[in-house]
Amino acid sequence: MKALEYKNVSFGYRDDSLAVKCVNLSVEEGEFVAVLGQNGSGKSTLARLSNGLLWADEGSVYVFDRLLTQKNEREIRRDVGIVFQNPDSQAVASIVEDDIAFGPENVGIPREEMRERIDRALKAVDMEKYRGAMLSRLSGGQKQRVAVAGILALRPRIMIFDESTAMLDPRGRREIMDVILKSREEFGVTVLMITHFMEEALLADRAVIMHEGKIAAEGKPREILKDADELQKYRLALPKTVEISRKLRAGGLNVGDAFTAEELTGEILRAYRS
Amino acid sequence: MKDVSFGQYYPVKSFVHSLDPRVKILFLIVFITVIFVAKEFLALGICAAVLLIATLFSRIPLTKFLRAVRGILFLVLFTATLNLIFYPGETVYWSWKFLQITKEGILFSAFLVIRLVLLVLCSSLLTYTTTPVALTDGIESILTPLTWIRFPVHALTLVMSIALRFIPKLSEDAGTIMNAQRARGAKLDEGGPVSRIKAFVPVLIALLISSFRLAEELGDAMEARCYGCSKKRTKYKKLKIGWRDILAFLVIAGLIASAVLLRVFPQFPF
Repeated sequence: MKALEYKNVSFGYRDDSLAVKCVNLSVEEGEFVAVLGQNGSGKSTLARLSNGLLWADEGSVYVFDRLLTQKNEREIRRDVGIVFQNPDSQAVASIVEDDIAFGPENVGIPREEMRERIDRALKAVDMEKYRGAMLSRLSGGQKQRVAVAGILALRPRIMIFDESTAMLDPRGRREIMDVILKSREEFGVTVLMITHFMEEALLADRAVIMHEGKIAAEGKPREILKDADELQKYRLALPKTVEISRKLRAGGLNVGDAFTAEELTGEILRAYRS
Repeated sequence: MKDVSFGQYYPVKSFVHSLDPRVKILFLIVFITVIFVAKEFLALGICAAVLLIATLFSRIPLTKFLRAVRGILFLVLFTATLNLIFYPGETVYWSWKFLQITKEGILFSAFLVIRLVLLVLCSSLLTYTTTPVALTDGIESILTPLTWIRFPVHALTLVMSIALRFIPKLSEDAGTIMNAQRARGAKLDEGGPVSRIKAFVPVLIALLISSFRLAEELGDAMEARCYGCSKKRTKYKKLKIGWRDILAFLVIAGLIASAVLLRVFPQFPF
């Protein structure tokens, strides 16, 4: 079953050119798809079109085979959770657990069940110790994990991460990536991750590159992320580890393309041993 | 700017912390009414004593309260001085042209200082011991009857809770903007009051723009979290009245009673 489907979707902001041009994209239930692209490529607009924060000028959006309309947007919002970029602008309450409760309160979950949901959400993002903590005292990565928990507590079937790691330090980014993988495992959610970090896209089942509002390339992350010339066209760069392994190869060390730090060390060790 | 201690929750476990926010709000209202109605030092003395006991039970370091008082020190001294030299009275100690210091003036100024200090201490006690959420929950519960006339009580208290939640963020942003402008040569803490205020305008504009952006992002995030999706909203935290609250309630009643007694029998011999 298709969890999310964009059919010939176009959208333009008031000022000038189209932000999204005739996009066709579908995400299978349970799949993990990464959308890559430079700033202004239209990738974030795509997220907002999924639950009625923005409305497509042309084309249609389907969520679990239901056409998104103004009538059912409230219902569909329960299925589509979005975690945004800024860890400071997503919380409404000052205390962690109160903030996580905001979503469930909005949809009228009874108190007992709400407590359970908050427990599980906090556990999934590994923030159980911070239940009663003040949000303003937490680090960016921790705030963002609370934001993820706030969405998890709504039990959406699709989670969209709209550059949720862009404003974090490397440690915070890693934490969020771990949380994404864990929420998939624990709740079986479908994930659409919008990012401009190549390394993050490697963890996905499928990578989609957006360029100037269109889908420019699509495929297995490891296939897509090894063509430097192609990536250059979309103003994207190779993952750092691939770049290093190629430079080593050019320098005469016989290493293959490595997509992670572990692979790179493995390749280098292997090259030295042989 | 960095130090926004006024109105910040201080997380420890104590008797006062565990009280129902509604009881604490009621206490604050009664307390303020009493100190503004009171005309005798004795009444203020009783208030101060009650507040001191409550403060001791709150397990909040007294330095926190001193800092809150320091925040209004200028205001207190200013009003006290004005009253001291302008207050008319019979027993004149010193006078020059139209200024005079009288016994009545001294008493009145002293009274005013105590009133203002008690006011700040009591409201600080409330905000130190009550989380912003509990506070807004309390206000929401107190205002609930207004929903009968279709007053949007929940929306109002949500606005309050969000405002409270963004105070630390905005003060942090203000600090960043000020530093960025200082780094580019802005003189924010030099010169007279007028030039200082002028230098502050660019800071305020930048802060305003950044808060508009935050507000827009927050709006999206709230909608994505189904705000307004369902007509029947539930509440995670339910306020409950316990034995402690009843005890606090008795203290409040005692406070009212003694204030009334003092008003009715001003010459009451203690």
